[in-house]
Amino acid sequence: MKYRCGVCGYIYDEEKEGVRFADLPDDWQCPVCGEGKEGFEPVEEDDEGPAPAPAAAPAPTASVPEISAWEQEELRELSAGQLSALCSNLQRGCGVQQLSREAELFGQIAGYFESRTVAPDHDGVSTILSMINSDLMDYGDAKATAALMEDRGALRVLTWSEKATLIMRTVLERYQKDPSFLEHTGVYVCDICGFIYIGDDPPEFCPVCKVPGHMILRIQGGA
Amino acid sequence: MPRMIASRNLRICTKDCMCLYVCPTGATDTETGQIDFAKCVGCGDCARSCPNSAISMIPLDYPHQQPKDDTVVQKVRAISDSKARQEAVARQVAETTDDPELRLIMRAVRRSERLMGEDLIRETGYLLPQSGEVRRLLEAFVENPPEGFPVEAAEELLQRLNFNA
Ligand code: SF4
Ligand code: SF4
Ligand SMILES: [Fe+2]
Repeated sequence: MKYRCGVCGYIYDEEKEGVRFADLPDDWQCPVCGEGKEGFEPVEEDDEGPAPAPAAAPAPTASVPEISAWEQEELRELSAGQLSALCSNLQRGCGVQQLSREAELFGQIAGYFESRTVAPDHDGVSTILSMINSDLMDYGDAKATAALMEDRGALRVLTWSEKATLIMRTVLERYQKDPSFLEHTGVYVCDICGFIYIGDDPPEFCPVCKVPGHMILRIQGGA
Repeated sequence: MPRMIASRNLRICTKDCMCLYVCPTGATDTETGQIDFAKCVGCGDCARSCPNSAISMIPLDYPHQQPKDDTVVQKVRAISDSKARQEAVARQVAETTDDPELRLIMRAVRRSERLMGEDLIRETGYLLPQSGEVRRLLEAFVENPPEGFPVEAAEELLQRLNFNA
């Protein structure tokens, strides 16, 4: 019998592990993303596709940062933070085309918009967690719309970012309960989809977007 | 066929073999390790002969992008906006805290939010740097720049990029 993690898709194979899933301790966690036992579901033998995401917690309201008049009129409704991400992505897009000067120029524009990004009033990790919970309420509807419109690209990014967001929530909740769990371990982020991995060796493939493990990069601590 | 030029993956290329022999213009033999794009005529002989699959042919012209449905765009944008705010919070915490574990996890969150935000926003019609959407965005920046905006960077991009619309 096999069980699949509802967050990252990791498969627990009773036969391979030699321990029945039911016999695992109650505080056992997914070795890839840290989800608890209750987030696992039995897998039918010929169905190892992604599981539906678990229901999200209710959304607290997030505060809105101030948006300048310029942003409202001219930026096609995009905030400085969104424009920074848009331009840093175009920087990557030029990089893969070997257009290094163009990449540098988009990088300058991305840096400008990042410097203009104002953080909303916040309470650190708790604020991020409530914004995450609010996002998790929105994915279902957005994915349904993308599927209806047959936009596979949008469906792809929504599917990946929903999973990466669920994993981020698991990691942050664990951190809130016990900050010391980060003390003697590595923190990695998949450079393609943003999947966060806590542990010593990143997996061979990203469980969210399936890129090879060398794309999962270690985050440096220190000063 | 779109016009193409050859490009080396510098992490794979050993800089010592077939493409140096087959290139009709000498574009593969350079001190930078990259192919001389000005000399390359796009014949593709180097890519076909490379024993390490280190060369890919990069198109100079790109097709028009798939049109996007407005409802999908709005929903994806709303989530990308939330990611950008979370990134701003994580960045501020990472830059101000003295707690090394908090700093580490906030750096990871900041990076992850940025990557998710980038990927979400590019799926709202900004996949290709040479697209009409990007051209119009750059033109809007130049026409009515916000305070302190690096206008020359946008102008240079408008000149350099080979837009398809
Ligand atoms: S043939 Fe391939 S590996 Fe050899 S020098 Fe050319 S690009 Fe590099
Ligand atoms: S595509 Fe042809 S001209 Fe260009 S570098 Fe390769 S062999 Fe030389
Ligand atoms: Fe990934």
